Amino acid sequence: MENGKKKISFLYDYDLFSCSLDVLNFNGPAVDAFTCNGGANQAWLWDSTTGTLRSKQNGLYLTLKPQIEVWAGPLSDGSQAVLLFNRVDSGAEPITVQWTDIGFSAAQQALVRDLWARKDLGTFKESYTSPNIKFHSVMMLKIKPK
Amino acid sequence: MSSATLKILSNPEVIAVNQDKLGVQGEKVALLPSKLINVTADVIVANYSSSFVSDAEPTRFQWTYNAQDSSIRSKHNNYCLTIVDCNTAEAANIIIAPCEINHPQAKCQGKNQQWTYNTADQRIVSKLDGKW
Repeated sequence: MENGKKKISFLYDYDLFSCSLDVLNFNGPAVDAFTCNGGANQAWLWDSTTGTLRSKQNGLYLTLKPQIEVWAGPLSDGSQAVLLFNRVDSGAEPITVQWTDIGFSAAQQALVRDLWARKDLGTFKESYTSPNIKFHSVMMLKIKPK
Repeated sequence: MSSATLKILSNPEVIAVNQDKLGVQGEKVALLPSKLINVTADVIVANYSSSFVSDAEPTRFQWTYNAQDSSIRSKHNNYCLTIVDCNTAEAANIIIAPCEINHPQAKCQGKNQQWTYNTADQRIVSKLDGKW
């Protein structure tokens, strides 16, 4: 009865959209508009008390994608190479890296160095909070326990 | 190649990280919401108790239906659920963005931000393809 209209669905079923299946996302969290198919992946339970919208397909909730990312990898000298990504589409904001997210204890004193500016930023413990990082920009750090 | 690009590519400290003899690949260790309120964002589905949610306000999971203009608004910033670029193709991307319904300059008059929710079959249907 509503053929042709677009509904919110997400790429989850294998057999739904064989001609436009996005392999990157087909099991993933993406939510996109598709032609109505009558499937559970296009049915949403709207709880007017809590204001949440929940997918009938897998029980997950409609929400906003977090856009700040912290990446890290260990180096041979015991330090961590850390990248702070601002993937927001506007503005500028500081980004914080927590020691516990990069395998250090919160009490660890560590030297933070900006690899692109090639200068030491100081000794910190527990976490380091960057200056404002512009949207679509990145900061690369090396964090070395003392 | 600009000198700025060359400077980044030839930075010995960055190359040293790339060539580090431990050879362990980096990975994503934290995923956080923007601290700014008024930003557009991709819309996804997620578990309410997934790891990053501790940093997120519950309003990131809350939505209201505005019966006057048929918008679905995020309680986080009152932005509208939006089909990007009024795209009518399959798999059109959905974001939250500033509401432009009935704005004369808005592409497709903001129909890409108007929805109906059918409580019987639980479908959320866009008004963008109104020809049906």
